Order: sequence, then structure tokens, then C-alpha cells
Amino acid sequence: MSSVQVQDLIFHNDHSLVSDAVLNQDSQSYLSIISHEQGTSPSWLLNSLVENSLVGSSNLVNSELKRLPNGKHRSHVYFISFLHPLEYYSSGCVKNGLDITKMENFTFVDAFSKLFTEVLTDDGRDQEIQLKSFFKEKISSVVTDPKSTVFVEFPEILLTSTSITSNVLLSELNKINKICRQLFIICGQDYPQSIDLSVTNPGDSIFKVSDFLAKLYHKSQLNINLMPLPTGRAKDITGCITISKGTVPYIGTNLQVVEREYIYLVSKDGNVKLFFR
Amino acid sequence: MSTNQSSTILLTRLLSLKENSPFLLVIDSLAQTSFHFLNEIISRISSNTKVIYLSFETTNRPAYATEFIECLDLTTAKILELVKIHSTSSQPSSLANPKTFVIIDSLNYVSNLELSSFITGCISPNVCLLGCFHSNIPEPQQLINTNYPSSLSILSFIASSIFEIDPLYDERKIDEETLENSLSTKLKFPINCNLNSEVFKVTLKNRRKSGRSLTFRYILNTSSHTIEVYTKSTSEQNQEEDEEELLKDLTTFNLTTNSKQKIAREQVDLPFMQAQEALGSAGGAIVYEFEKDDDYDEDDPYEDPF
Amino acid sequence: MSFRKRSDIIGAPPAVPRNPGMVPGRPVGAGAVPGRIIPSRPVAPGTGVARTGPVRTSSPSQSQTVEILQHPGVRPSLISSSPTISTGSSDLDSILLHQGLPLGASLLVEEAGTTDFASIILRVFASQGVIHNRVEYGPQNKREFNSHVIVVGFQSQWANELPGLYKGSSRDQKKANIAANEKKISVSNLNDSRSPVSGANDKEMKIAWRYGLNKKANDSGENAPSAPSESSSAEHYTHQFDITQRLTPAPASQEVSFVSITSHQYKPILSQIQSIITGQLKQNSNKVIRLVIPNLLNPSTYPPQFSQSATIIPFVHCLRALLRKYPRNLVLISSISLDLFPKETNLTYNLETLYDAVIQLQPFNQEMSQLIEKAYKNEPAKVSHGLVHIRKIPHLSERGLMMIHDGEYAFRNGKKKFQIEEWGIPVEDDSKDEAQTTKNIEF
Repeated sequence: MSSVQVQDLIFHNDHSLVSDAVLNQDSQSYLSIISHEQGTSPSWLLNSLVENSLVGSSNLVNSELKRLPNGKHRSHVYFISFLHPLEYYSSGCVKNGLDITKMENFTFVDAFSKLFTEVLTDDGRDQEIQLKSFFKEKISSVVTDPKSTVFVEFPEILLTSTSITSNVLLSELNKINKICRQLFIICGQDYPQSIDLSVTNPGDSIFKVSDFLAKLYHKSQLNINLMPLPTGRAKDITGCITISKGTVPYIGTNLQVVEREYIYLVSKDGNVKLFFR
Repeated sequence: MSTNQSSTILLTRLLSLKENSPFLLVIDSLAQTSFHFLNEIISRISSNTKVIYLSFETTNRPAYATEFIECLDLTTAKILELVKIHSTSSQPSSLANPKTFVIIDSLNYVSNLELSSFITGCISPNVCLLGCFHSNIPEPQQLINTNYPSSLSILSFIASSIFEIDPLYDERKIDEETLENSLSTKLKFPINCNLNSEVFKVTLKNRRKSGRSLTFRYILNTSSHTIEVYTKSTSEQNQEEDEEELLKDLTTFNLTTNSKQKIAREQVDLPFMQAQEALGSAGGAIVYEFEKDDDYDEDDPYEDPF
Repeated sequence: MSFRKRSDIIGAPPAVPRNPGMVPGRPVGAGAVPGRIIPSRPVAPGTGVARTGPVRTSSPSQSQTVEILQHPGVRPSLISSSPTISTGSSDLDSILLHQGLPLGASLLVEEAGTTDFASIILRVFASQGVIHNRVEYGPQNKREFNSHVIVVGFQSQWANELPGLYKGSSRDQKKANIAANEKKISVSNLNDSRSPVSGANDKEMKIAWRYGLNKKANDSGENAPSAPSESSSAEHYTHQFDITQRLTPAPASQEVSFVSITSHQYKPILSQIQSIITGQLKQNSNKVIRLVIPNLLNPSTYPPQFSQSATIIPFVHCLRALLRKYPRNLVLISSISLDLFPKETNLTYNLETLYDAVIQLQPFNQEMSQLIEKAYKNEPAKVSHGLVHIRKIPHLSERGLMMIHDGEYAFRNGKKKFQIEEWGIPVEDDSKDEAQTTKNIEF
């Protein structure tokens, strides 16, 4: 492994992850999808992207990107999670040299702890209304900084566990996307356990998630997929990360996605190494 | 050659909305979406044409849209009402170009049962409607009325012109099956395969007034705005298929072969094939096989029997 | 020979040096009969397990963490140093890499086929909690209610079937009996020589030396109050259970509570669990609460509506939220049948997403069992009953490490313990290849 060159992770032709061209836009909003399989949780990537959006550096995955001087920040990060509480992200970001609990430009929207006890208390159709008001109260009215990056992790739980349809969820996410510059949606994508495009029963959660993701892919500029090696488990490789361009280009900029495939290794101490495949 | 020319003219006229075709259907996929195709149409029509963009999935308002209506939270009745308001209001201002161009970015969001009435509701004499339909997205099965046709069937039936958009993917890197498997089944984008590029394949099915439809294939380059007739593989690839298709449903006899039969046919050993194999590839040549009783002197250069 | 050994038994425990690096869980059996290797465990204790993990950090930052580490059943994890409890099966503890299940985490045991090996894991898990409750520890050998078990979906009958502590092989037990007779003479002597607080310890000694529990009970008093040293906390950490024995005395109501499934609503169950937790923590804020949900969604216990995604997923999501709310007090273990809810289904997939650790038991089919029995006909102790697949490991999986191990381990349900070993395919000519499956777990 020592002979193989460790690579910096980049998404775009300007060697960036979250590009300045995106954050400095004033009229366009962009979408990226981070999909992963069981076994390749994107935790390290999310922390790196949060770090990059906040302060500019991305210590674990890219040595070229530098931290902004004098505690300046690049954008306001809003993180909406349906899967983890804040502690999970704050302890993860320690490795990136950030204490996100003390940062003014980081807002955590906890959609996890009380999701079914306070947010979506109704069992029936009113969940749709409850969800809409939650998004409106907790997000739409909170995101005030025009230069903002929003992460939404595990939104598909709304499809699998409630009567909310994929169109409603897409509509809500679209509203969030419009008020920020960059939206990252993090979603599990395992075939055939969570997506299978041949399923047509509208009540089946696999159908709902497949429909949701397929439609989402028709809107995105950048897709990132993490999966274990197709050849199976390897001791020195965690998985494979694929950067591919989305179906919509970055309108209004010259930004291009650099399509690449890396293999990567996450070690027990949380360090990440990337190599070209 | 002349047919090529006339077919190019047909596409040019359709793209500039000069041909009388009230409902253009664009069937796209994740591998090649209609994004560049729409831009191509916009670049060809006059700039003072009123464009009403019905957005179900587009986040950013396109620069060319005169009206941008976000439809995701609206009922179809409400959308139709808005279309009517905007399309009629345009008429007095631009008499020179009385047509309003309505774009629906994705018809997949409209429920199957409402689709037909929605489309007919949008179309009016002064409106040219273009609807995109993503073939990748699974269609919910109708649980109550199982007889009702699928959305794609309905749309294909109503449409006056159908554009099927396919990528000109790099055949050295990926074959159709792999592409289909990774993208349409697992929603994983293969990289560097020239997907969603500015140059792509268009299959046009144009319907005449009589209802008879003609199919043409093109390569559309949206950066140079040029149209080429796609010929290469239509002749080669589809020949066998065409033969099959010709035979299909021609008579009450089944003249076609299904894939299983095809495999079986290919596996039939022709006589003498085996015999030739046993003697090596050199059919007809004299093959010397050394036997133990043969007297063969290695040192003698003239001893070599051949 | 045997006579000399008998005297060893009594004299041995204090003489055995307590090695912090030694495999926890192992010493229980071995400590009772030092110098003797139990035939069924082919590799000497001390191999493998302690090898990999980084050195535990002795001073975790949060005061709450320090507090909970005083608990006799809690130790810092080998890999993340977060407080961890034993599952009651030392081998399962090992394959979870943390040397147990970290507090605040959940474990889903999936099982294919109609067998119910998973219930053994769950029962042992519950038993371990009850035993911790009965342990006397600390400077005054105090016994406090430090653990609680909540069982969902079953009545007290379930708790009555919890396995008891392993008391050594039948031969050991005979020896123990003889030793017990000699006790009056020898133990009192020992007590005098070892400890000034002898008299009160009499009762403890009687049971404790048999279980190997008392090795440090007395001298741990020196360091326990200030900082829980490893040796003192490790000694009660895990026990060995005998599934043919019953836990005696049977668990009392303050040790185990039951939450029954009365309707197809998940919210009443959740609020009951919540109120038990609040009640228990009011008594002792350092309590470890083991939430046990055996046979999740089994139709004989759960009404059909419960398996709707709109019920079960919010239920498990809420449990996950509870675990995050009580990260120092609560752990969850559940089992589910893959025959009823196959892996390919979205439901099982979602459950796996919501649990922190997932292991799958895959019992061998008939042909495979026969093959293995044939291969090991001379060594029935080596016959495995099935494979153990690892899907998720607490903390590591969610941090992006790929922890899926398929078919690397095999389990064997023995009388003495639920054993998990590295799996090697048995070779039919049984000349020398037996060594393959006997290799103990290593990382």
C-alpha cells in the first residue's frame, strides 16, 4: 500500500469540495446526493464537508484546502438529522479540529430525538401537515444566512415509517434547497433492500424510497456514492467512493464535476486515506 | 440522401416549433435528461415567445422562463387554471408570435389517472405543450382500476411527436447492459461515460395527421446546434431485430424465436465440427501425430516428415 | 494427586496474580480451578482478546463517565474507552470488539431458521444484569441495586428461565463439595492470614471462591474509591453461565420488570419503558438498565399491526432516541427471526440501520451439521452449530468503518457457555486439521 499515492478528495474542476463558485452564487441553488450502503457510513465525509463549508479546510481528506484565517467562515451550516443527535456530529468533528457546538455558524436541527414523540405524533394523514410545519418552523424560518449549506441526513425514514409520500418530501426539501446555496441529502441506497425500481406497489416503502431517489437524481448537480468493495471485504480498504456528475449542470458557473472513483480506508482512529482506483 | 435531408428538416422545424405539433413528448432517463434538449429548443425559437415553465422538480428558475410556476404543491385543477390565465394574457401583447410554449419539466409527478385530462387541459390552439417524462422512475401500480393504461402508454398515445433521448455513451467503457444495470436498477452513475452530455441521440417518432407515425434517429449536438442523422448502428444492430420484428405477429403462426429457442439453436452442434476440432484448427491439412513405433531421428535434418 | 489439588483449590485464589491484561470472563472458570485447563476450552485463556485494542485511557473526561465506571459491571471499551457492559458471553463480548456492548448502544441478534439460539444470548444478557445486581463490591462490600432488566413482550415466566452461574464441570463441582467440607478449617485460616475483616466475609467466601469472584474483593478496597482501577472493575465484569441451571434465587421484581404488548400501539409500551427507566434512575442514577426485547415482532406475541412499518420503525426509532437520551445507563438487545422477516426486506434493513450492532446467527443445515459431526466425531466439543455473521459494530460502523464480516465466525451452544470461534471449514480426513476451528478469536 505504501507505493500507492494518497490522494486528495476533490469534487470539482477548481479542486474544491464545496466550491466558492457555489457559495458565492446569488440566484442559483444546488443539490448533491450522498448515497451509501450498509457498511459504508459516510460519517467521515460529512464531517469533512461540514468542516469545508464552515472554515474552508478539510483536514482528513484534502491537504490542499486551507482554513480561512482569523476565524472567518465560508458559509452557515445547517445540519438536519433524522438519525443521530448533535453529540454524534460534535464528537465526530473534534477530529476535524472543530467544536461545532460553540460555533455561531453551525446550527443543528434535531429531527431525531423527538421525531415520533413530538414532531410526528399523529399516526394518520396529519403527519403530512405536522412535517410541513416542522420544516417551516425549524428550517425555513431559521435559515436566514443567504450563504448557507444545508445537510439532511436520513430523510427516507419519513417515507418508510409514515404515510408521507415522496412528492411531499421532495417538495419540502425543494423549499429548503431554494433558500440555501448548497443542499446535501444523505440517503441509504442498498439494492434491493431499500431501493428497487421494479417495485410498483405505491404502499411499499421500497417503492417510495426508489421513487424519491430517482426523482432526486433528476435534480442534482453532484452525486457521491459510497459502497463496500464489490469484491468483498478487504483488510486495508474500507470501500469505494464514486464522484459523478448529476443530471443538471452547475448553471451560472463554469464549475464542472470531476468524475472520479477512489478507494478509501478509514482507520479505527478516524483517519482517512484515499487512493485512485 | 434526400430522405436524410427531409428528416433533418423535420427535426429542425419541430425544434423551432414551426411544425404543427401541439404536444411534444420527451422521454428521457437519468443517463441523458432533457436538460440540453430543452435548451436547444429555446435557442431555436424566437426570443419573444412566451414560455410558461411548469416546475415539478426544477429548483432554479431557468433564465428563459417567462412564467415559472411551482406545481409540486398545487392540484392539477389549479395548475390548469394558472396555465390558462398566463397563456391567454400573452395573446394581445405579441400578436406576431401568438403561440405560448408550455414546458412541463416532469410528467412523472402527475398521477396516472389525472394525466389524460391534465394534458388535454393544457393544450389549446395557441399553446404548444412540451412534456418530459422520465423513463427511469417507477410508476405506481393502480390498485383500484387495474385496467387503466400506464402513464407512458397514455402519453405516447396522445403525443403528436415523441422524442426519445439517449446518451451517446462511450461504448469502449461501458455496454448497454452494464449501464442499465448500474443506473436503472441500482441508481449508480457510472463515471466518464459521456452521460448527460451536450451531444446525444434523439429518436423521433412523428405522427402525421392520419395518425401514422414515422421514426427517425439523429445525433443532436447542442453546443454547435447541429443535427446529424444517426445511421451507424441502425443498419447493423437492428437488422436482426428488424427481421424478428417483421416476422412477429405477421401471421397466426409463430414465426419468431424466443431467446430460449435462440440459445438452443446456437448450441446445436453441426456435423463435422467436432471432427475438425479433434484434428486441430487446420482443417484439411495433414497432421502428423508421433506414435511410439515411429522411427524418428532427431539429429537428421531430413528426417522431418513434413 | 487429587488430594494435593484439593488443597490447592482453597489456597489458590489469593495466590493467583491478577493480571489486568488477562481475558475477562475467562478467569471465572479458570480461577475456580487454577492450574487446570478445562477440556472444552482448547486454548489457554489470555490469548487473542487483549492483544489489539489500544491502551485504555484511564481518565475519561466526563464526570458522569467516571461515575458509571464505578459500577462493577462497567468497564471502558477496549477501542473507544466509552463505558461498556458485558453481554454475559465473553466470546460475544470479544467479537463486538469493545469487550462488550457500550452503554447507550443497541444490539440486534438476527437468526435464520426456526431454532432459537438467539434467546440464549438474550437470556444470558439478562442474567448478567441480575448477577451484577447481586454482586457485593466496593470498599464495604456493599450490595446495591445497580442493575435492572426490562423485558418487553414477556411475562415473569421468561425471567424464571434465566440461566444460572456456571459452577464448573461436574468433576469440579464434586471437588467443590469436598472443599466446602474442608472449608471450616481452611477458609478461616485463610481469612485470618489475608484480611482483617474476616468474619463478615464468611458468607461471601462461601459462594465467591467457587465462582472465582473474590479474588480481589478484599484488596481492591485500596484503590476502588478514588479511581476505578481495571482490576477491581473487571472482576465482576462478566460471568460464565450454565444454560442447564436456573438462576437462583429467581429474579425479584426489583431486578426485572416486564412490559407486555397489550395493543397494536407502540406508544403505551414506550411510555411504560420510559417510566421504568425514570423510576430506576431515581433510585440510583448509576444504574445500568438492560432493555431486552426477545423475538421482536414474533406473531405469537405481537399483533399483526405491529409489524407495519408505520408502527415498528417509529417504535425502534424511539428506542434509539431513548438510548441516546440515557447514553450512560441504557442498553438494548433484541432478537428477530429472519425466517419471518427476511434480510432482503425493507423492514429488516431499516431495523439494521437503527440498531448500533447487528449480528446474524445462521445455524447449519442438516447436511452441513452431519459433515461437521463426521469431521469431529472424536471431538464432539468442536462441533459448531452455525455461523455468526457480523453486520454492525457499535461506534465503528457508524463512523464509516466497514465492519461486515460474513462467515468468519461460528457459534456453538454448549452447556457451559455460548461459544463463538473463528470459523474454519472442517476437513473430512481428521488427521491434523482439527486445529482450524479451535483457534480462538483474534483480531
